[in-house]
Amino acid sequence: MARQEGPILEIHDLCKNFGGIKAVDELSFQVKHGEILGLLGPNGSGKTTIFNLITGVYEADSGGIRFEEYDITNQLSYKIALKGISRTFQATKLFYKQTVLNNIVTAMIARTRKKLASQETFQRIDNVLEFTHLENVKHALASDLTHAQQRRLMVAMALIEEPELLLLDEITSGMSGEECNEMIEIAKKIRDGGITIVLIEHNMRVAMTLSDRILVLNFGKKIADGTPGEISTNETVLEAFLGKEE
Amino acid sequence: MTRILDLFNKKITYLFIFIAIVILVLMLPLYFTSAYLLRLMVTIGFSIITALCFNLVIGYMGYPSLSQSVFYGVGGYTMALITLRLGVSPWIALILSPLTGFAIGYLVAIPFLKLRSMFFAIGTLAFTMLVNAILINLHTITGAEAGLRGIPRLVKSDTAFFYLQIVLIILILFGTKILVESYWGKILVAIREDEDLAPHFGINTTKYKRLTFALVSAFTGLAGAMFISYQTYISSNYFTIGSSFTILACTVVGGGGSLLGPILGGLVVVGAPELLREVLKGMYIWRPCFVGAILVAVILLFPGGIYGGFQKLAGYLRKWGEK
Repeated sequence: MARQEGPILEIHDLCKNFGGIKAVDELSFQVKHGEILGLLGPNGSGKTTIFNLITGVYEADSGGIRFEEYDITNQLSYKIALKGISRTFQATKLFYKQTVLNNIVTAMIARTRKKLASQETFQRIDNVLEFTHLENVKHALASDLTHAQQRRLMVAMALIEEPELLLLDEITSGMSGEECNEMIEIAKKIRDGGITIVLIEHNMRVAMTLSDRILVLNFGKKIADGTPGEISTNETVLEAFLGKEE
Repeated sequence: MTRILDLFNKKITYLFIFIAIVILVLMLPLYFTSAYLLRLMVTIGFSIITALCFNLVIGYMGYPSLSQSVFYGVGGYTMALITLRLGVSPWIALILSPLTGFAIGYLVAIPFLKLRSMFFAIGTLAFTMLVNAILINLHTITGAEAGLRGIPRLVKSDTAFFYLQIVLIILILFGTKILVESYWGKILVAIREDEDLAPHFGINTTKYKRLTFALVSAFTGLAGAMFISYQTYISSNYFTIGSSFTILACTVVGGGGSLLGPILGGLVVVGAPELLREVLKGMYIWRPCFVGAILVAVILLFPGGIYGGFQKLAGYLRKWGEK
């Protein structure tokens, strides 16, 4: 349990430039075990770039990323995933020509391998499908699902890996109010199950409801860090989102 | 329990159908006693073997390779050079050919599998042309276009070669079936569907791509060694871009990513033009056009190949039956 005391994720002085644009600018923050950290910021503030840096899609120009006792800076994506970090994507990414079940099986294959046909594996799949309300469509093609079901399937695929840290990138984008509520409940249950979550969210209601702590970015820099209550009254944050009153 | 029994019965039925087809094929040399027809069957057999091997790369992994003839050549030259220069038994050369195929396949995979889709196709096409040019320039070793003669045969008769091929086809079929139904096969399909997504589930795509390509090259090398031993002659003309394209056509026309597709493709792409030799009398030069026309027609009408077309038809019939 000693491990639980330190941060699960630690980012220090992280920089990423695209040509002359500073997407992430000397950013440092920590994520505690078991919390839900919301990443907020206007479009182009560097939120998804941070997810891409954590999961090895992009290489950092400088700075470091530490996950538990591992230095995962600029490591390959599959190695990072095997260490216990799962993610979803802003634009839905699935194996569209495969069934829901096959998508889940593919997502767990690197860890399970020869135990794929075991009773324990079948049980795990059923549990995740039930948890994400996809049990009735498990034999449907991923391409035939509704938008909300596809977003939930992404979450299911991330969960089947049994991660310690889950990165959710705008999981409620394009969803109706009812579908958002359903996703909020799923996210809360995931956190209650002991998985730490970092989420990027444009829907303020979702971000404020779910997050224990919120970190606000603008032009790749951290401009605020606090509880949802503190953030909602922070003048720098309001200025970044709404602009300065003349 | 009923579902398991149904599945078991289905598998037993398929196994019986498979055994029946194999027995029928094994009986073919008894009926087709003409040397020409037997030679044709062996030629089709070699195309089927190579298409079955590269089906893993082209059909399951989604990499449109045009380097098949290179690995066929690697096996072929292993057989030719070891038996002719060192005087070793062709059976030992046959055992060594997949090893050279695997080693060279793995080395080729390192740079080329960094390319994707049409860039991979163009890269492997250029590689085949390069290797062909090297084979021609190293004529003191390879014999270039004039070739090397007197390569010993693995078995004396064409019929024995035919049976040897059937054994290899069955082995490759079962090997492919086991592989594609294992976690490895699911990884290949994940690479084909979305190679950028797969690593986020802990899949080391680079490792599986390279190993699959090397494994396929190994079996293609084995087929190449058998082919050269059958011909007793090797020439750089066997390993051109045209040969690679024929194998690609067998996979695409038959139905890439299915077990039986390359067999159907081999029968149609290689077998049909030969059988039409009589029909197209005096129009010999038009036969390559026939292959091209079939390829275009299948791609336009059946994107899943002939096998995919059969599956579609079966689907329609099932629906019609239910009504």
